[in-house]
Amino acid sequence: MRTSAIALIAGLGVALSATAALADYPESPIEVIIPYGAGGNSDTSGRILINAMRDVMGADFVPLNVTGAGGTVGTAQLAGSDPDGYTLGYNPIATVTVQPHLRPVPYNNESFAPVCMIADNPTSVTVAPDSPFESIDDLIAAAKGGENIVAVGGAPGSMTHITQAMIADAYGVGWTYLPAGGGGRAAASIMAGEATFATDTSAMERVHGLKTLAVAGAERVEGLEDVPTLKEQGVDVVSTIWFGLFAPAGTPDAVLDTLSAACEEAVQTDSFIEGMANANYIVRFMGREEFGDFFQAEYVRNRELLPVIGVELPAQ
Amino acid sequence: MGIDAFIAALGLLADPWAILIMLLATVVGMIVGALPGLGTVTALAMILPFTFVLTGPQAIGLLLAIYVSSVYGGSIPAILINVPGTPQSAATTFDGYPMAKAGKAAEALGWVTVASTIGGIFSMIVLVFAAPQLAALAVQFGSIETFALIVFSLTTIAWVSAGNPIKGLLAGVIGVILSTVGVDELSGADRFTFGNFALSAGFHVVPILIGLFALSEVFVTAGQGISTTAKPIISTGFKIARFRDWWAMKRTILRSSVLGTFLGVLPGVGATAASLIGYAQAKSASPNSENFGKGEPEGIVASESANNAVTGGALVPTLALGIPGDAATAVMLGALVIHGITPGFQLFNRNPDLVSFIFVALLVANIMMLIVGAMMAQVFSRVLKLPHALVMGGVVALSLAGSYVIRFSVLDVWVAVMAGISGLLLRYANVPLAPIVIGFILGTPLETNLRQGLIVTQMQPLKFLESPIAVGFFTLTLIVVLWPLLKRYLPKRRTID
Repeated sequence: MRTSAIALIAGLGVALSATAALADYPESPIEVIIPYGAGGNSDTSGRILINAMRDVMGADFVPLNVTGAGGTVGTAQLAGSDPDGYTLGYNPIATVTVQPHLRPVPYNNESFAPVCMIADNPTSVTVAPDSPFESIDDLIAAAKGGENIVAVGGAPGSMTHITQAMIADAYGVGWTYLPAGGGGRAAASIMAGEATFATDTSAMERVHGLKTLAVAGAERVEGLEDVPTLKEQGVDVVSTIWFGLFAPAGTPDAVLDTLSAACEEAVQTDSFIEGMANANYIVRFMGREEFGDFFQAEYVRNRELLPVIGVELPAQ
Repeated sequence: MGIDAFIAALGLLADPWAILIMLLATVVGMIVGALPGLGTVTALAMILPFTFVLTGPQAIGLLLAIYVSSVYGGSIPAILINVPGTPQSAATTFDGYPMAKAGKAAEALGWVTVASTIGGIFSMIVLVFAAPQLAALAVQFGSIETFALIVFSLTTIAWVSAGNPIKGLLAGVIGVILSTVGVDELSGADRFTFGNFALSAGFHVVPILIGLFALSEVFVTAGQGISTTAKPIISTGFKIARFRDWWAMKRTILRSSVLGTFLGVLPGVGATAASLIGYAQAKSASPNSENFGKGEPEGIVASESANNAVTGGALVPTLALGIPGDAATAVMLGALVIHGITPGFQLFNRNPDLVSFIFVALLVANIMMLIVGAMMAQVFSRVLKLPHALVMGGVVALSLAGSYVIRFSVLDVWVAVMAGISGLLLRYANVPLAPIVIGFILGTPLETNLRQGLIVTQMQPLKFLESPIAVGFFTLTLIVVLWPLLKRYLPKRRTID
């Protein structure tokens, strides 16, 4: 008798919580899928955001690293989750706006409801500290002169890969591309003398002591004030790596509004600002509406850009 | 490291909270390491949020204690129930479980705990004295050098093939083939996925390992019936062998510790392969070679001192270059960054006090591991007093749950079951299982580095021979491969003389 009474109450509780979900959101832990392994770039910044969101909302956020296949496995899992506000995803640009154009993945731009953007890092062209190249023009001249130039970056379809293709296309040159991995692995290849330059984020100089020749941002970067942008050098190449919080499409507007507002508050907390600075991230916030439009524009831009710069994957 | 820096580092540790936190972390790390499927990376990721409320030194102490103790923790179930808690302890099952079955669990736990501590402290000492130099060496290893190192590492398959090199080679090839499933990181193309999106992430080492070693053992036991599994007298608890017995193993301990540290520093190989290679090398060199696989303490000592020596080694490139040596140090790197410490080429110059603190904390973490390990062994080893059928049921549950939590993928559960059935069949066919794991772990870095090397040399493999390091490893490989042939001729010559 007693157990059945408890079961009845529990059952009622579940039924009630389903209807009251919106009013009291969130009332259970929110899972945030990070589509890369613990310790990587996306993971570090994602956890900084999650901590700040946890403080702001007083709710429990649980990071979940679902790795594999260039981030598409975790992203696909997000796209297939219940749109109830209890599963979110933290994604960098390439997983959501590049990969769908390159390989068959079970999601596209209609699969997500963007919540907020929190960071936007320009990429940069970096070479070994003892490299003879002092400017982007030196590098391009060497490539035109037939020297063996090797660009290094992540797997095909990553922003590092796309950035070097954009630069090669803009200058009308060609070189070898070495997919060795991002950040540390790219730096290791350069230091081992295998690769000539990397097109990773502008933090490569600060963390690994590489020499920055140019920044592919809209404007110069703090800490690298002497380094010109590619735009200043006369080529229209702007390539940045942004990170944002997403929900599956169909998530109620009220939930998205709550999350977007909390995100805006979170990015202004001291711990977030300090954490992102330590991790070499440039904070850039966009709320739900603005980020939604931006995301769709980026999706279309990358779809049109890829064939132009010659990035395509082998037929599947 | 100067004496001043050392004293300053001890001062940071004088904080009683730091000591208490590290002690708790050692217990937590050991338990998480002992649970199959969770492992070092999960333990670190789990504990990461807690570090945000701590001071920098407390957080570093916490993470190091978790790192070190979780690597050790994996050996406990490897010995007691034949399930490696972490992939790093796969080689510990070979002799640890037979020892436990023969009623010597307490001795086995004693051997691994002390061996882990020695390996850990050895690598910490190397880190203290040679980190910048070793980091400079690691930088020399591009894809061509790493490829050569992995080719050499693959020769260990010969030693763990139980006298049947052809079957061992076959098993190694199966492992390499399994490693090719999923998205090819170099071209982005799907391979062997048969249009199944879940397969595009490839196979994970944990379900394969759990299936091959743990589940297949359960199946074998189930096939044997109850009468044959009558239990010998069981020793539970923790027994450290006499010094004389330890001294007899000094070469094995030293070899595995050097190997683990070295493979930790270099990219691409990792702790799991390090322990397998340490085991294989010990087997090839030991006079007790024929006892390996039947409960030889030297085997578990070789495996566990190697995998714990990786800890200090992997921290070398992590701290000195900002390039993590493996997935576990990648999490540590992320945590350090969140705490405002940027590892990289400037860390040793700018933050010498912090670096010495890391050294001291690593030493303390290793000593705590020894003490806590000795105490926990008393508790854990009681699992052997349970009825055998119950333990086997528990192994199945733990194996399947462990396979699931690694990526929250049901596919991985099926992979574990399939690996278990395949493992059973391969055991009946006398095909050794260890080479499958070696082939699987080294398959991806072997292929990746080969192809990267070919890209860099513009498809001219002969240019690989321009690297002296690569030539060195290729020569060693040739010697090892040809050694059995040479050995056949050498005694002949002697008889002629």
